[in-house]
Amino acid sequence: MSKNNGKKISATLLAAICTGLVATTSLRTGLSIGIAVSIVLILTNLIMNIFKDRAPSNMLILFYMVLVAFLTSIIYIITQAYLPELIAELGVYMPILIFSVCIIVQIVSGEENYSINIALKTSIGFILALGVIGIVREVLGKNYTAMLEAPAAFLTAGILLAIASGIFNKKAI
Amino acid sequence: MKFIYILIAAFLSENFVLSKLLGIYPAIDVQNRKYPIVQEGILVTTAVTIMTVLSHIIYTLILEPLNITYLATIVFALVLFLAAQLTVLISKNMGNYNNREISVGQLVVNSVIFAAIFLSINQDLNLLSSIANSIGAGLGYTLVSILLADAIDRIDDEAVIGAFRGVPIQLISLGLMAYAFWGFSGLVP
Repeated sequence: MSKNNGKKISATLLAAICTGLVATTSLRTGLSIGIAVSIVLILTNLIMNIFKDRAPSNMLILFYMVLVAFLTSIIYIITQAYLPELIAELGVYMPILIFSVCIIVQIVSGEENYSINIALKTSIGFILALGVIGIVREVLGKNYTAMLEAPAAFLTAGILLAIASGIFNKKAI
Repeated sequence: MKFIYILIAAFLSENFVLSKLLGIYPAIDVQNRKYPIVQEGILVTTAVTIMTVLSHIIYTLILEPLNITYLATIVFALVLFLAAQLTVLISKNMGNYNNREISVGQLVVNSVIFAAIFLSINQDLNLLSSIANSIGAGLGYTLVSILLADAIDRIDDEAVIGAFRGVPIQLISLGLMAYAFWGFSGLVP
C-alpha cells in the first residue's frame, strides 16, 4: 500500500513539474507559482472532501474544475494588486499554470480520491523542484542568456531529474 | 494571408510544446498512453478548436460588453469541460479503436487546450485568427508527440546511464528537438 502510494506521488510530482516548467526562468517566479499551486491544491482538496459524497460522481470533475478556476482567479486578482512586478514577468501564464497544474495533479493521482496527503506531499516537492530549477537557470542565465530560453528548461529539468534519481537510487517513474 | 502566417507560427516557429512549454506531460507520458497518437492528436485539435470558438464568442459578446473580464478563468473552465465532453461524443461517433475510449480526464490533462484561448485574447486576435492559432496549436502538439514517440522508440535503453533512463532522457530529447525547432524562428514575417 505504502509503496503504491509512493509511486503515485512521484508520478503526480513529475506531471506537475513538467507542466510548471514555464515559470522556472528565475527563483522568484518558480517559488511564487509553487506557493500559489500549493494553496489552491490543499484548499480544493479540503473542500472536495466535504462535498464529494453529495454530488453525482461523474460531475465531480466539473465541480473541481470550477472550484480551481475560482481560487485561481482570486489569487490572480490579489497578485495583480499587490505584486504587479510578478505579473509583468509571468503575465497571462499565471492563471493558465495554476489551473493546469492543479487539474493535472488531481487527474494523474486518481480522479475520484481527493486526498490531502497526496496534495501536501506533491506541493512540497513541487515548490522544491521549481525552486531548484529556477535557481539553476537564473544563476547560469546571468552569463549565458540561452539558459533563459525555452529549450534550456527541458535540458535543466532532465539533468536535475537524473541527478535526483541517481542520488535517491530509483527510477524517476 | 494573416490566417496562414498565424497557423504556421503556431505550428512550427512558436510551437506550443517546444517554445511555449505547454502540454509537455501528455506528450512524454508514453507508458500510460491508451489511445493511438495520431487519433489523440486529431481529438486534441478538435477540442482546442471547439474551445477557442465557444470561449472567443462568449468573451467578445458577453464578458467584454458587461465589463466582467475578471470572470474569464471561471467561464473558460466551464467551456473547457463542455469542449472536452463534445470531443468525447465526437470520438464515440468516429468509431472506437479496439474498444478504447478517450475520457474527459485525458483531454483536460492537456494544457494546450486551456492555454490557446488565453494566448489569443492576450494578443488581441480576432475570431478567424484565433481559430488559426488553435488549429496550429493542435497540429503542433500532434507533430511533437509523433516525433517524440519515434525518438523514444529509437533510444537504446542499455546504452543510457541508469539514472537517465525513463523520463530524464525523454526531457533531454525534447530539449534537443526544441533547439532544432528554434531554427524555424525567422520563418514568419
